[in-house]
Amino acid sequence: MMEDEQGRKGVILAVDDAPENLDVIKSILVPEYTVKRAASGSVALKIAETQPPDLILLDIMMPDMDGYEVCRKLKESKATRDIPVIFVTAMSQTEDEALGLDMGAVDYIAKPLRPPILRARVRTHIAMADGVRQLAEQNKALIDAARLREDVEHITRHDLKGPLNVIIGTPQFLLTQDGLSDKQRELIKIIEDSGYRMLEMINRSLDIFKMENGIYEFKPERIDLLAVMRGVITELASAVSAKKVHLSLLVDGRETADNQQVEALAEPLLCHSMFSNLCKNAIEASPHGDRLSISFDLGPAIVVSIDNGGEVPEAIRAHFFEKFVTAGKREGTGLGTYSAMLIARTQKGSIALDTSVPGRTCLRVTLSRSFIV
Amino acid sequence: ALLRWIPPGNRNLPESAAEAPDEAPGGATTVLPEMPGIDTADGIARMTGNVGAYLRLLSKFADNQENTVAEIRKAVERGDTETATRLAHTLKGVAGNISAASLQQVGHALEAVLKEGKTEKLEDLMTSAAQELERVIATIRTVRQQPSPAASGTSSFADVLPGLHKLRDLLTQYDSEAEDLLSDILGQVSDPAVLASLKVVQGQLTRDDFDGAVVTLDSLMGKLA
Repeated sequence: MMEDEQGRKGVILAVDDAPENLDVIKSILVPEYTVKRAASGSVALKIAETQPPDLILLDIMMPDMDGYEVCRKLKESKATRDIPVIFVTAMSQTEDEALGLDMGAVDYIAKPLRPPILRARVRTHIAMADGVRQLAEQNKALIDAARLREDVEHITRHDLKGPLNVIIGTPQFLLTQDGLSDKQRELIKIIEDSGYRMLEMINRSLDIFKMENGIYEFKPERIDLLAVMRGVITELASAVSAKKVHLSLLVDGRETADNQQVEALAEPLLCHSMFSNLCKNAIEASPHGDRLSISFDLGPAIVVSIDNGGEVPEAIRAHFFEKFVTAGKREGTGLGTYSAMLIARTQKGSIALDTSVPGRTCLRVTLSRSFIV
Repeated sequence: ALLRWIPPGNRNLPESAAEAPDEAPGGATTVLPEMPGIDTADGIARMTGNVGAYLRLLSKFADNQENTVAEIRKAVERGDTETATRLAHTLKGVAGNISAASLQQVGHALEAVLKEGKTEKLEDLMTSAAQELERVIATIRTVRQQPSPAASGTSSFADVLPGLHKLRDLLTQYDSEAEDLLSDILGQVSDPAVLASLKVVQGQLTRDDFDGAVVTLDSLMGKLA
């Protein structure tokens, strides 16, 4: 028997003004299916509307309302439009197959009926309609999930900022008060710093979100890329000295002069964030006392290479720039190289991992050059 | 010709032993005599091997289509080509479904000339259609089952009441199995008045008038409850 998961038999509505034809259909489809009978188009529409079947077998030439008209009305009504309709007809010149299919019928079956063909077509079209229904349900579930994600994003990006401003603002006020012990001041400072870190994280994830969705508005300006890198190196000075890393900064293979500039078309904050992430990673990955070189090569574009000792594990090389991929760093978010990649692309540039030299790792960022006219 | 019998135990048909498909080895059409104009083996196969259901189908055809060619002629005479064409089309379709191939062919030809307005061939075709229809109906009447002997049922109205409620359910669902349940109930009932009402319901079901059948049944059940 053709039953669904609930053990319910499939329901077919057969429409024909000749009872003999309905008897034949019944004989072929019962007991696998429940077969409802309608001798006219108007009765068929009433049944379809009030007791929707899984499929309709529809005669074309009937008095009063012909099959085309019945089909048209079925497709007009929201309650019945998704029920598959098969025309069952003794074909002739008076019937136009294309017309019926244009009206939304899924198939034609010729009289005299052949039981295996009728059964096979009915089974196929009920299965297809079920498939379409399941896809629609899955689509709805996916849309709901996406909406949920947007809601969560909205909460983290906007709703969290209000209370966070209080957390950042209140310590500043407290620190102006007299009578605080040094220990208390220190704790208040920790609250303030933590607030700023959280704000920074939220802001950064907002930019990443926009870049991921292609809605980040890139506003390039002519900047000195070398100055951005020098700033990053200054900020990381303590990490560099802690690891005793020998850092060199080169332009076209030569040590840089103090007044040297490298002009690029980019956004300074984005470049700062990208260089900062990549350099932090390089220092962390670098063996103690090893050399780390940062080189700018100026050709048609600017290529910034950050070369450090240590190897990226084989297993993650292919996924190096993907979200949430980390090389076992305990505090790694897996977002550093991912956001660097997004930033490079957002600025019409690119980023690549070079592991061709054994024991070393080199990241190459390519950005557009700005030629001073 | 071989019939494709349905494996036993796979269906809830037939309703009575007299209608049981012949399951003799080889499955020859020994149940039905030769019927000129009708390929009974093909027809029984279409009814999934149920000889009883096929005989009821033929009987229904004989009752419903007896006057079809006469009606076509009348429609032609009053200039209603549309109705004439539709009737010829229906005759063709039903003839095909009962496996009356030559009637199907003449019906097809008749439909075609009506559609194309070829009046010169119309008279000849209506004559051949009438002759072929008459031959098929005559041949059906020769093998028509004797009407079942006058009600042999012994059940009271109260006994069949649950069955009638079930019947009413099926009727409101336009369920094709209402007809079979009604036959069962008719075989059980003894009261002539109840029998008469149920025969009216049966007549309505023959025309697929489910709404009318519910009204008749409600009136019967209201009277006797």
